[in-house]
Amino acid sequence: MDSAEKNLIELSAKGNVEAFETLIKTHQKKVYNIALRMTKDPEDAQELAQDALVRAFTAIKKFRGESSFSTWLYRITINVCTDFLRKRNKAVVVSLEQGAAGNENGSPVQIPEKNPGPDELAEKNQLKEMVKQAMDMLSAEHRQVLILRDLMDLTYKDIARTLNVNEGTIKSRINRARDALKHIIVEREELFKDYVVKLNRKGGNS
Amino acid sequence: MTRCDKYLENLSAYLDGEMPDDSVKDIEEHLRECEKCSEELIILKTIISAMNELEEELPDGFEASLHKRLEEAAAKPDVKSKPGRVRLIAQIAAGFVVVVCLGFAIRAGFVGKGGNTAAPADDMYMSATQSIAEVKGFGAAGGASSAKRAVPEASGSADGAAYSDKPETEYFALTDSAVSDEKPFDSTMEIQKAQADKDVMITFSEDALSSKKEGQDTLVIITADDAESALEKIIEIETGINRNEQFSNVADLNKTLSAVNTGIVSGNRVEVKLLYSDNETWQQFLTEVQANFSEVQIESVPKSEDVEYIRVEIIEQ
Repeated sequence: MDSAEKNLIELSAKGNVEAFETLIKTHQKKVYNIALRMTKDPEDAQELAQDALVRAFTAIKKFRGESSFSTWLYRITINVCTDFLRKRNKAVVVSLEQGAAGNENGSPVQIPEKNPGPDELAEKNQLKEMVKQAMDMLSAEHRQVLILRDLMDLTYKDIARTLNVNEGTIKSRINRARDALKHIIVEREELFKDYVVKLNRKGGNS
Repeated sequence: MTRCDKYLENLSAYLDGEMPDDSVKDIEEHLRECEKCSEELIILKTIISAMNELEEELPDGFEASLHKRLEEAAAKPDVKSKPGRVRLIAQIAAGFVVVVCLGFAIRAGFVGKGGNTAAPADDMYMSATQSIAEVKGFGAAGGASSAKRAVPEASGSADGAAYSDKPETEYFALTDSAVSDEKPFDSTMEIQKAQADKDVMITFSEDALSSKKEGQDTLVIITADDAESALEKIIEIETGINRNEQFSNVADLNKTLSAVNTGIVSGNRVEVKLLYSDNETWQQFLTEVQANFSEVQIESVPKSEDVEYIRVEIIEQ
């Protein structure tokens, strides 16, 4: 933790809103994105991201610097979102879980068709859209680790700390989550295969 | 399990840079030879790079509405604007509520006016709850002097019957919300404020001080910079003076100490209530406290309820 961050944390602990806002400047977008990917709803995500940030503000005196501030903040966010998902209509969660499981069993998963764009940018955007939709079909547990790893760029160690499970579990969970994601995408998306072939030709595997 | 399965299992961790160096060499060697695995690697890489770009911008107005909520959260404790002493009292009230919620080390003893009969357990408990309401009301009234004017109807009577019309419901309402409400509880905020000050406050309530003035309470607050050592010192003092097992506070103090040690109480703010069977032991205790902490204040404060208060402030610097 650098001294500027430490200073901001101390000021925030005294109730200084401006200091806290400076402190979270670089993190709030990630907090929002965690909430967005976890809830899949922009409105819920905004509400929950703000819940998490306000909770962090009121609890910052308890932050002892044992982990980085961002890890601590993401953990609060994950907890807030997990609580929310647990309470929200369980049927929704169940059907999503079934969706992901169904895919693993080879049953069809519907991914809305998009018209393939003529240029690479369009393809890339389409790929992003595909990945996003596939993400939404994963189980909450798989989604969670991939958010922390691939969106938040946390190390396995930090993810383990954030979710309070051991590193070995995280390693295999990430592996399974990516595998599930890949199955959703690859098995039915010609576009994706084209994209990979193109990448290959360009030496994108180096 | 084929030879490839072993590598496929580790591809994710390899891409994340989470494999030990010797395994990395092994994987890379295999990837050079195995088309299936290197194709798998490309697919994974592609997905991951797309995932990396999934981040979306904050919605319009996010920061503005967050700012509003943060300001509200900062304003909630409502202790900042009050002068120091009153603020301290507000914190005590809040702290005590939480201590009660956690359910440890609560012990309230109130001896009748003559100092010879201990009240029955129920009454003792009730008087404890009233004291909380009292302190709370006191803090909210805006200070020691105004509190007196704010509650002129408070009588000096310490008899059991007078307890029944006291606002114990207010206390229970506070407790309930502290336990069940998932939103940050106002009092928690106040405690956090106190924690920021890195102070320890220990309050004692005692009804048997015959030397105190009529219509006045004495409230004891110990402020120190380390809860643990302050508590240890108090246990030491307590062990030295109170030989009457029935009224020994050591067990409760130890419970509080272990709660502090195990982090059940985070921060450095602790409150306990101590019972003394007679004025003599109480005075002894007070003398020892004054001798062992660097700064002690003992004040008479206006009586606002029928439970009498002793207030002491001790600050270690």
